Amino acid sequence: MPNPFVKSRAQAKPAGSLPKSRQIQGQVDMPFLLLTVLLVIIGLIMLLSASYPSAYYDLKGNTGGDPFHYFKRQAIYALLGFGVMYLVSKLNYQGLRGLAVTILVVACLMMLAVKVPGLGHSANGATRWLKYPVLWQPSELGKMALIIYFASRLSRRDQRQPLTFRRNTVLGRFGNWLERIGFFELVPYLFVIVVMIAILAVQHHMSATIQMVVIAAAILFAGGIAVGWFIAGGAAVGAALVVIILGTDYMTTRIQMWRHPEEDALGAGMQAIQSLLAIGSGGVTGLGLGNGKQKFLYLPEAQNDFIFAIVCEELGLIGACLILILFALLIIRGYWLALHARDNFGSLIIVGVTTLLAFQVFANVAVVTNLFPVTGISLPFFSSGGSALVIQLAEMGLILGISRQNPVT
Amino acid sequence: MATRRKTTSRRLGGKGMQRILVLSGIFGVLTFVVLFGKLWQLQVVQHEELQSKAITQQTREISSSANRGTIYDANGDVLAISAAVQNVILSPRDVAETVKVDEKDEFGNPRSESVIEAERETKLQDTYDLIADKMSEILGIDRSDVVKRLKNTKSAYEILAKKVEDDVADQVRAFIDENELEGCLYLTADSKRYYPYSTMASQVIGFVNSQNTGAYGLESLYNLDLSGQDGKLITAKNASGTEMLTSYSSFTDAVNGYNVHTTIDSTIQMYAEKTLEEGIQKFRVTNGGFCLVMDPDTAAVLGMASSPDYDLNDPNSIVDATLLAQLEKLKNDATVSEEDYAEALSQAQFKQWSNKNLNTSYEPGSTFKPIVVASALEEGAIHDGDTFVCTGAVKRDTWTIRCSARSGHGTQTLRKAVMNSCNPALINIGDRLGGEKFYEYWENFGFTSTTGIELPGEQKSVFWDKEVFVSDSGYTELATASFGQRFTTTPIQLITALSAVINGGHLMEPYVVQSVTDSDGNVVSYHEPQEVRQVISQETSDLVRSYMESVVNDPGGTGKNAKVAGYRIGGKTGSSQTLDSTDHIIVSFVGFAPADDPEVIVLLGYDWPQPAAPGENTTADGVYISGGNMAAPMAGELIANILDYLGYQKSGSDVNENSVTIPNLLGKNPGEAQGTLNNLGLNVRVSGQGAVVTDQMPAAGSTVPKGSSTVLYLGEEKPKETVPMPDLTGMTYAQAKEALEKVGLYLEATGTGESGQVFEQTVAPDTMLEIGTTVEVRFTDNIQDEEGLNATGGNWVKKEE
Repeated sequence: MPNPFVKSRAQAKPAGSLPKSRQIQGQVDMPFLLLTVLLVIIGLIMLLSASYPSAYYDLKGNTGGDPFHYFKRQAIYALLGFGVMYLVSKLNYQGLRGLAVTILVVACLMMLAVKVPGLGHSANGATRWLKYPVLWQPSELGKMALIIYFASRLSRRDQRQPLTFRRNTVLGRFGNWLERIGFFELVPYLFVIVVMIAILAVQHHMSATIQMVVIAAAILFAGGIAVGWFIAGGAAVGAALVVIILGTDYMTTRIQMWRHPEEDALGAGMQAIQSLLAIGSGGVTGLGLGNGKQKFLYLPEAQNDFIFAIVCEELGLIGACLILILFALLIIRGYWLALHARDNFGSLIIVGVTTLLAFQVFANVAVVTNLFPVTGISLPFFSSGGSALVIQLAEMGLILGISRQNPVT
Repeated sequence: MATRRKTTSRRLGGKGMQRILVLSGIFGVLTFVVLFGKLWQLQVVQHEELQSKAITQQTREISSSANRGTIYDANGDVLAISAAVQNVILSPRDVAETVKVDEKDEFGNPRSESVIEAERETKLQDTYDLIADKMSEILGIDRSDVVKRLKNTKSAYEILAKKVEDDVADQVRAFIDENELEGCLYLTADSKRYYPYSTMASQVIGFVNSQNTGAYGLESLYNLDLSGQDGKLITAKNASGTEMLTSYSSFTDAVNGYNVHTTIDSTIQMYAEKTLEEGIQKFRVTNGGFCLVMDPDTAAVLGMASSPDYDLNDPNSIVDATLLAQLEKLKNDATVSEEDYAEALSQAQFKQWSNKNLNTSYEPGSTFKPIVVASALEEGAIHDGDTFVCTGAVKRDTWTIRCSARSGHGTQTLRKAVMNSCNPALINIGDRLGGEKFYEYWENFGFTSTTGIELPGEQKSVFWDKEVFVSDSGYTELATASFGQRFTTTPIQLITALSAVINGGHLMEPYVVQSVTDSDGNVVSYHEPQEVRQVISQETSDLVRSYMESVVNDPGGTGKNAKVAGYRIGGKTGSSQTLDSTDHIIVSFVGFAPADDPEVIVLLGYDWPQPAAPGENTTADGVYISGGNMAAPMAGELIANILDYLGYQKSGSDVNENSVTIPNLLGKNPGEAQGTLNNLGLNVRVSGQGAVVTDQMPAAGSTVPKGSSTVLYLGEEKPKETVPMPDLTGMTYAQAKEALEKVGLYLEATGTGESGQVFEQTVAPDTMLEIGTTVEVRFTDNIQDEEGLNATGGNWVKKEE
């Protein structure tokens, strides 16, 4: 069996060493940039409003009672993030083709490093963070690595030599059949996904696992993998979920809590209930920016995963929808950029990053509105979390960088 | 290289583009539509439900109750006042939550759930016992009830005791502090209404319900003014229960209620109530009565009494002896069901809450006659000096209307006719006035509307329709109306109209509230006397007033029992029969003084003095049942008391001419002293041999009848002996004088004097008195001024709302 890794490495090298003078370095896509900046600014304002009480009351013992603690930190990270975004947008993404595997390996190692005592940091029963240089989740890098690797590999799909087996053996015919339905082509992807899932399982990182699967599926889908695989994959994931939900008490109660949060209104169902109260009391017009009440210790993680509930409470249906529309515009613009990217490598990266962003937004809001059970996906640009913001902006920078090379804008 | 690069730079194919469009549709549109739908459901469909839940958990409403205003009498005495009290509230939920059990043992190892649960159970039970024991002890409530409430752990608000006073509240507070039960038990401010005079003017003042909202009387009518504006402090609280930042709270300052200053003078009110109660006792009155005291010039109500009355501090309890006896009888009657008893109880409550002065209308009878006379005089239908012939009865249709003098009053002047309360004369006057004019004056005197007094539940008069009354067929009605029968009106209506008759013709709007002030004493509103209209002229008023003075003052007047020596009192008696029973008579008297310029007008009525036996016309005590015999003397005394209180001096000219005042004879020589006394028409006995008078009996300044025995002591000591006061009931003047002199006491006669019978003695029988003491005894004449019409219509008519 040929080794796909060797092959790709051999091919990636020349791509990475393209002379700079040959690059078409145009303008970044302004709509996408403006939408990003706008969302970050709105997110900062909302973070200030939502985090003020919990910072003031110093619930986690890390703010020293400074009500602006989270806001200041987020603002600094936002500035840093913009810087990173600028730098990343200046980079020629073509170089990533060659670095894809390296990035992937580094990311996997980092994700494993959280388990190294002294490097990793645990919170809420899960070990997902690295302490250096600041507290951050290497799984964020993992997602990027996965996107870049998949994009890079899929962009060279047509150069792949189909495997042929001897037809005179059953095994050989079976091999040929597998090749025909595209199984062997998928093996490297599946391998990467499985490795990722395994590492994330070690981290107890359910939400990242889901995101990995979704972005992987999206890139593979856009990359032209046969639809049948997605149906099969979806069925497999669905079946696995059913088994897990029905088979483990933990998941059963979690689903139960999702369907009927009022049964444990002061315990596991509290977050969901308080979130619904916040959203519902906002009504159409909202209580006004800063006038939300649910953030006053009623709604846990008001500055974090549940910040959108505060948005709904303070800005109402109108404000919440405007923000969602901005997100939708950003996402649609992202896909538009993907359609207009210079090459399919760029397209697929954009598809991956945009889908990641879209899924995060959707999953977060769905959780906040109790459409989904609680998963722990934060709202991009809004939720408190400096490193995540920087990484998100870096991802946006990546898209912007790709957009610079778009032949038509 | 070139081809490779070209291939690696290949753009997305058509299939890839389609797929990106699909992704774009899913992640850029579809998911957002789903989210929008969910948000719509939460923020529009479920908005109210979720919002109210959120507000419930986020806010804490603390109300600071406004102080309810005070009700004062005319002199600033407090009639009703509020004081701060506390309610004791228990929060079983918090009690259950305060019990904390370590989930780990001392070594930090988790303990088993059953152990935790058991310990929790014990601790909780201890807390329950503690609270139940102490609360039942302090508050005097049932322990098992407290335990039951404690077990209701879902509740955060159980009222253990309402309106406890400071001393109890302090004990509760100490208990809370001691056991760190803040939040589990707490006190909320409330206020309680106190009525210092208990029963005084109870129907006028009215009472408040448990929410301190006026339920009755002025408390109800002036509730908005009195209650003020409760302050509200709505604070947003955070999840840990502490206050949120202050910018999220809203304050409304409590505005204390206004004070209401009534025109009621508590002294006059007390006199009025005393007069009413005494008469009810004396005349065996079964249906209570009313007594109104008013300033005729302004129509300010100075006193308004209605019997039965009740204790404002406990308005649900029956106080009146008659009502109590009736209820007691029902209670002991096995055949009366509990529902019937409850019904009777609530009826008795309504009875005692009802203000007869305006909630019920009655047949005014002869007290209405001055109004008819005044109307006729004003219209020129009759003139002063006209004469009227009374044969003892008048026939109208099938009715025979009798005069109180069965044989007739003969020919009499108008003044005499009023003094005699002569029905045939009044019928004649009514005829001369005519139905049309009669009705016009009925209207002008304000009987067709309410008086507008600011008290709840004023009834209207019940009179014939104008069409019927003024028509030819209405002349029987005109006849009966002329002497005040077969229609009903309220005491307040009547006294207001009669005030107009005597005050120069000004119909005033009666009022009980003089002013309303805020808590700082600033006057918010002040009631100026309101004249509705001038009904009759000053001249007519003067004339009728002088007739009414004759009724009391002149010999043969039906109101002479109201006469009080030294005061010029005018008035008119009334005894009206009612339809429901021939025994049911309402005796009344309207009186005013001083007659030349009335300062006070009184309307006193007793409803149904019980005759000795059905059909008898005297009570068991032998008092003839009539207004002149019952209401008049009581009203006369009341008027005298009021005038005395208001500072009117008795005018000497009118003091009984049969009495003499003993001069001071100490130090005089015996002969001179004896001469002085003899000149006064007194018998003198000398005791001792001294050269000067060292003592005298009776003492200087006493008023005694002419012909009384006096003693002059010349060096001897006046004996310090005491004698029991004899019972003078039913005696004539001569008998009473003799009975007193026999034991060495002196008679000071008031009222009608020699001609009458003893009405009341100021000193109760068997009271020990020093020899020589002067005893005031009031005499009345028997006045048989019953209304002539048997079986006429009317009753205490309670008009439907």
